[in-house]
Order: sequence, then structure tokens, then C-alpha cells
Amino acid sequence: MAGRLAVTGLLFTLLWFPLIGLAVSRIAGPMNLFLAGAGANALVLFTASVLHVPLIPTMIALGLVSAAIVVFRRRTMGDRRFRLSGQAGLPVLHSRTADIAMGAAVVWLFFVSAILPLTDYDGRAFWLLKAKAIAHERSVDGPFFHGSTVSPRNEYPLLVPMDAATVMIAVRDTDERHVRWLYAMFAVALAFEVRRRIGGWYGALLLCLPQIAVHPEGSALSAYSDIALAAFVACAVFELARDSPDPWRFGLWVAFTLLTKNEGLPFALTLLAVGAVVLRTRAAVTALPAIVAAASLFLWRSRIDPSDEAIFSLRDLPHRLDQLDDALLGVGRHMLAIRNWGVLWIAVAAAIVILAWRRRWHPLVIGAGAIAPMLALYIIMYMVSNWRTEDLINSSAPRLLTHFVGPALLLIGECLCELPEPSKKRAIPWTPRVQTAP
Amino acid sequence: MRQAVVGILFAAALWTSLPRMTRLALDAAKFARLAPEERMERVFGSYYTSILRIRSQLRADEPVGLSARLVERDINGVVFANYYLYPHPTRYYGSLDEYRSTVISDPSQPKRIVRMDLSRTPEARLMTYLDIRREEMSETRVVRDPKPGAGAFRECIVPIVLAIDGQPGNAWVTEGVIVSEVDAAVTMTFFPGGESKTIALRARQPLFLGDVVYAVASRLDVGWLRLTATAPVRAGFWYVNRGLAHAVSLPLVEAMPPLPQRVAGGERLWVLNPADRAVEVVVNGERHAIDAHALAVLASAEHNEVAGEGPVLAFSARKENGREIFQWPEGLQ
Repeated sequence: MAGRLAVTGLLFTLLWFPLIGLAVSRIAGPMNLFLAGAGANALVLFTASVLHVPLIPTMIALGLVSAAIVVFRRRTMGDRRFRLSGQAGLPVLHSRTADIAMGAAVVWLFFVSAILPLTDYDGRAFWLLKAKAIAHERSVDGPFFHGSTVSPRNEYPLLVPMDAATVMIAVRDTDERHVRWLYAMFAVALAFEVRRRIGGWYGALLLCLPQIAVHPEGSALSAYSDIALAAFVACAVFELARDSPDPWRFGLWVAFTLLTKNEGLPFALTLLAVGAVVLRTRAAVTALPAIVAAASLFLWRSRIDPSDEAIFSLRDLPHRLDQLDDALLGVGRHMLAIRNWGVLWIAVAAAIVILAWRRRWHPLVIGAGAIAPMLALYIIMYMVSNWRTEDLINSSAPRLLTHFVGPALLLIGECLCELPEPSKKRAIPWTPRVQTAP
Repeated sequence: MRQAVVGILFAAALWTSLPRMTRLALDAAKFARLAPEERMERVFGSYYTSILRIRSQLRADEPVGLSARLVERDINGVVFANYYLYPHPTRYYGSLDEYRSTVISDPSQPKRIVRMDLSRTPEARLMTYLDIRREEMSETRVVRDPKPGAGAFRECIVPIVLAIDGQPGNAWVTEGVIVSEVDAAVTMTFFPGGESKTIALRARQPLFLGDVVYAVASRLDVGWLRLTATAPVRAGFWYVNRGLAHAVSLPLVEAMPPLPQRVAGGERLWVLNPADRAVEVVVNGERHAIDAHALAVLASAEHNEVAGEGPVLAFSARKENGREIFQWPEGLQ
């Protein structure tokens, strides 16, 4: 039975990434353990592999160093501080019923992930194939990435494939059943982060959104990287929304975002711009992890075969303005598609209006600031694409909207946190928050 | 109030997800007792079974080609074969011509190809270039309405049959049709190799052959064909230039014309020896030994005369606008 369920893969996933995440948290302050671990694991292994440091010794060293940090830094940072700083500054809406609902969704997700094979397209065709190649060749620029095997989308960033490859190397098997847990865990970890930062019902809501739970392309039951990207974006946004955002933690989330998907780079720039507004003079620090990630990514890309992707040129935009209405209508239709998103995006639109009416600029700048530029970029991409606009939107819009789910829930949460108290509807001018010394 | 709004959001999400969540949970419960490979077979059907079969047929690390009959229809099967067959090195070929031209410049290309053709089967098939070529040839014949000749025979010779590839887009094959008024068996023997194949004919049901040489010898070659049948059959064979979609009807020779044979000039002179022994002929005054069952190619003069021992059949060929024109000896029926 254990073999049928690939329990080794589950145990490794549940131990390795949280261990590294805990080590990162001991250094940088409280972070979501799984997501920080998944991000840091891939960032370290990818950067080392780009520098041709052997993968297995790096993995072993990473595990040992993480364990050492966890053991030796325990006394310097108490658990109390983790809990307090984790929820500071954001309204938290918990209830036992919500926790039960969320728990049921988690159990359902693990149960189905354990048994049903992957049936999605991109996950198998692009992402997991890369993970298998990394695990097999123990390298990110081996023969696979130089044309020995058909490698569609050769230049896709490797954060999630690197994590999947880590699991495959650990269990010595490249079968997908060992890593299906990983994709489920990205969704679960994101839900826990949402629960921690905004409230229990929001976490349960996230895990029950059709696009996250059951959509054949891009859900937690597929091997896409969209939920991972959404998770890192959400963590970055939540970090900015705290009373005392930490530039290092924010910078790490941005770096992980950058390495997760092609959209990660413009997303990282967007987040850095929002971060610059929020963090002001401390914002310079946030770029350092992102610079390391970007340098590794571009160095790696310069060494491997070019991707087979169609190149979109923004220079075509003036000639494609007639596509704007199609792109807007198409994306709008998907935002209103209850079969994929319930009424989430309707609520987000309402939340933006209410927050603007209340002049609550701080959550608006952070939440809408993370969504609007990227949404505009996606719409422009649809306009200049050589694909038939409708086909491209139908095949990608539901997944791309996933990227905004963290900021979207933040906007709703911020909007609802004052509903019962009409007296607080007064204008609350936003002022930059000043970091207090730890 | 907050609880109510969030509750509505949650309920709307759950309302749309729950049916699919339930269905997936039921599927998972149903599959729980199966081994992982069995689950894959349940989900992907015969496609996955065929992938397992291909995997077992490939040697470790054997590179394999990937090919789709019709890209729009078949590419998904190719993409996922690439995924499931990893770590076998793979190479995608957009067409057979691409494979052929690549192999010419780089002989280390994969010898076997995973072929997806949903018009034939949902399964992936491990094939050679020649297997796929034969399928494509049989799908589109150049001779639209092949009619057998009027005369029936039990034994005859088709003086030239071939299956060869030219530049990409060009290929030469022999198409044929054989029909019998009664149930019969026809044996086709390809020379000089001597490979033969016997096919049962149902009464009055024509047998169409899109690539005679490959059907008999399973390779690309040039030679001649001997037909023997258990009952009188009628047949027709055509020398086909597929690149130009041009077909030339070939004579069916029941008896060799007497020597000397006079043949009009062409670019090449062919001399066919159907006998089981070598023969010596004099072609335009020069002596030549023709091996048993050989189809020899000799230099052609403006007018050719072939004399000596028999039996042989001489004929010449030339091209006009890329189309083959055969000159047969005087007296050949």
C-alpha cells in the first residue's frame, strides 16, 4: 500500500522543505515553512547547479546546514515571536468551523493526489519532464537542455521542477506519483498562509475555489507552477501588508517568484515597485535576493538551447489595438466564470471600490498594486500574441488569474475587516509604516 | 456580517467545486486498490499500455524519434510519449521527409520512431521509417482507379519494380492490382533478392498494392517481380513517380521475346535475366555476363541491339520533364 501511495515522497516532502523553511525562518524571521523551504531549496540548488557545483553534495550540505541552523539558533529566536509577528497588522478571521472545512479540503486534496495520476497538459509536457531530466542528469544544463531530448519550453524557470527533482533524487525514482504531493502542498501551504494572515475561512475558501481544487489545467491536482507562483506572490504581498514588513523576507519571496515562471520576472519587478513604495529607503535590500535569482536565471539561459516559445513583441502593440476589446472581454468573462472562480472576482472588484471609497490606500496600493500591472501585462500579451486571442485566453486565463489570488483575498479581507463597525468608515489616510527595531 | 460575506464566497466556491470533488474522490476510492501502473492504464487506456510496450521494446538509453501523422490531431500523443518515455533521448520529426533528410546528414539519428496516428489507432506505435512510409504510401495511391489488364495468366514477370526515395517530396514506388475470378493464392517473388510473399485472393475482390516492393521485401530496392498464381489472375502494375504524381503502366511478360532484341535508345539500358543461371549477352557488340535473376543496368546507345543466349528481356528508360518513358523491345506483347 505504501508503494502504491508513494509515502516516501510524501514524507520527504513534508520533512525536507519545512526543515529548510524553518532554517530560513530562523535567519530571516517567520515565514511559511513549506513555501520558504521550497523556494530556498530551489534557489540554492539552482544557483549551485548553474555554477556547476554537483547537485547531490549541495543537497546534502543544504540539509546539514539547515539542520544545524534549526538546532543552534533555536534559543535566539523564541516561538512566541513567530506567532506574534506572523499575524500582526492584518485582521484575522478564524473559526473552528472554518478550520474543519479547511482540514476536510486538505484531506480530500491529499487523498486524491495520492491516487489519481496527473492528466494535465503543461505539467507533464513541460514542467515534470524538466524535473525528471534534472533528477536523471543531476544538472540543470545537461544534455536534456541541449537538445538530446525534445524539451518544449526549454527556458522555463526551474524552481518547481528543481523541488520536484529534489524529491525524485531523494526517493530514487522519477515516477510522478512521488511528487504529486508537492503540488498539493503548494496549495495547502498557500491556504495556511492565507489562514494565518487573513483568516480561517479565507484559507478554506482558497482550497475550495474550483480553479485551485479541481480544474484539470492548473489546479493543485496538476503539475503546473501557477499555484506555486501564486503562493510566493501572496507571501510577498502579505509581507508588505504587515505592520513592520521585513525587506529581507520580502526580497526572498520576490526572488522565489522570479524563479518560478516566465511571468515571475515582470511580477518580481511589479512587487519590487510596490515594495519600494511601502519600504522606502529599506527597499534597496529587497532587490539583492532577486538579483541573485535573476543572475542565475539569465546565466543558465545563456548556456542552454533557446526555447521554442513564440516571442511576443510589445512593438506589435500599436498594430494590435483592435484586439483590446477581445482581450478585455475574454479576461473579464473568465473572471466572472463561476465554474472556475465562484464569485471571488466579483467580491474583489467590490472590495476595491469599497476600499477606495473609504480611502484606505495602504491595502489598495499593496493588493491592487500587485494585481493591476500584471493583469494589464497579461491583456497586452493576449493582444500581441500570434495565437487566436480567444483560444489563448481560454487556455491560459483561468490559470493566470490564479497568480492574483493572494492579493485578491487580502483586498477582500481588508475590506471586510471593518464592516461591522460603521464608525470606522472614516477616511484613513495611508502613511508609510516605519520599521521598528526588532 | 463578515462571516456572512465570507460564507457566501465560500459557499459559491464549494457549490461549483463539490460535484467535481466528489467525482474525483469516488475515482480515487475506486483506484485505491490498484497498482500505480494499473491506475495509469485505467485513466489513459490503451495509449498508456502501448507506451509500456514501447518502453519494454526499447533498449536502455536508445534514442527514439517522435512523429505525428497529422499534427493538429496527433501531437498530444507525441508530447506525452516524450514525457512517459523519458529518459530515452527523443527527437521530433515534423514529417517523414524531415526524418529522411536528417538521417542523410546524420546517420546517428534514431532508428525507430514512436508514431501517433489517431486515424488508425489511439495507441502509440514503435515503427521504422519504412513502416511509416509504407502506411503513407498505401493511404494515397497515384493511380486513382487501377484496372487490371484483360488477359488472365498463372505466371508472369513485371520487368521493373522499385521502391526508392529521392529528394524530399520525391519517391518512386510500384502500385499494382490483382484480381481473380475464383478464390486463389498469388505468390509474388522479388528479384534479385528472392524474397516472396503469398497472398490469398477472394473471388472478384481486387487486391490493391500501394508499394509492391515493400509489401514483398520490406525494404527499398529496385528489381523485378515474378507472379505465380494457383488460378488464372488478371493484374496491372504501374511505375509511379509520387513527386510528380505520374504513373506509367508496366507490361506483364509471360514469355521473353526472342533474341536479338532491338530497343530504342534511352539514358539507361536494362537487361533482365529471369533464369536460374547466369547468361551471356552481346549488347551493341559488347559481351556482358548477366547473373541469374539479375536486372543489369548498362550504358545505352541511340539504338540498342541485344543478342546472345536467352532468355533475357532488354528495355531502356529515359526522362522527359522528369517523367519516365520506357522503351520495350519490338515484339513484346
